Amino acid sequence: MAIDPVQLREKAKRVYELARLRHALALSIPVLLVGVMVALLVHEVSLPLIVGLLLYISSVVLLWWGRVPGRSVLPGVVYGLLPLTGSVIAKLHQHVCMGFDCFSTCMLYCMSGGVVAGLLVARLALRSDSPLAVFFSAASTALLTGAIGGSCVGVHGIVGMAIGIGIGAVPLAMRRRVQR
Amino acid sequence: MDSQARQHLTHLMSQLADGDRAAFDGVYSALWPAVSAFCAKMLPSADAEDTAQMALLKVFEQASSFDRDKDVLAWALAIATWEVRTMRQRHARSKAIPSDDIEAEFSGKNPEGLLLDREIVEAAQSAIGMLSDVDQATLLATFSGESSEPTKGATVRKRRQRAIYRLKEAWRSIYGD
Repeated sequence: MAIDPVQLREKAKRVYELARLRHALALSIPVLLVGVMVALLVHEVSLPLIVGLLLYISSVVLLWWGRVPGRSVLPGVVYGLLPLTGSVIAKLHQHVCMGFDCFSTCMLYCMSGGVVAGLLVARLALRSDSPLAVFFSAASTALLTGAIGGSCVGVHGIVGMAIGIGIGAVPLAMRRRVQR
Repeated sequence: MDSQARQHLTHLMSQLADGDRAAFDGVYSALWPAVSAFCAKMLPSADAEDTAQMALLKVFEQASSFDRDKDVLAWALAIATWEVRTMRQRHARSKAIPSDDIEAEFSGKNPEGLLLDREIVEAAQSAIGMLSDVDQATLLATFSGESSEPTKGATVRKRRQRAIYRLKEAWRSIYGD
């Protein structure tokens, strides 16, 4: 049965939005698998899965929204794998011994992974027409990805990661200051 | 629609695929008249509007996966063509005589019923004639019991299934769905 033109327009909009949402839900499934893999590796279920779920939700929202934030999800997840890997290694090998001295590796791996991720995100943002949008969406995705592993070493691991990513934003801030 | 308008429409659709909702109205306003006019040419007026609406909704459902290298008008009309085909097939199926009426025709044996019987038999013979000797023998054994070979067992069952499948394919190739 034929429907009113105004109703048809509204229905077409709804169909478009629902299709985008379905697409985002499907495309974001791999980030859930990252949480599952980390949970299996470190033998801790709740924290990696909770953070993985948060990452999944933010990925769905950004991909559904689209445009610059949506395009920043994949690079953010990839860059976030660096601090995630560092923190999983820190969880599995909690200290390094040199001679008679032993050092905790948690903050070192989490912060250095965060700095590298932050620098990569800043590099991506500087090449974009909307550097702030790219930075915030990619950085938040990278932080959540890294936090899947960082949660296994405690809050200070995640804080270290966040500080590292923030340090990585310094080149972006400097460049924008120079451009003004 | 001239080439400049088509390029602009493709650009708008690319933006919509990227998530720019501001492009929606421009795409809708350009595509609805084109899809509607196309369906009106291909179908009776009673079905044309329904089909055009279905096609337009399918276009927007697939908008996020639109390939930016394609021409959006050609892509949308391809979707509309598929919907037109579906509507025509639906009509063709609904024109087939319903089973209740077939039974009435057979039991009454009126001239129309006899003609229908003969047509169905000739159609079945044409389709069976396209099969191999083995398939024909298998079908004959299955439906008439006139065979020296056993009609049960896994091998015979599989042979029968294949023969029926090939009969259906032969029927489809002659008479369509």
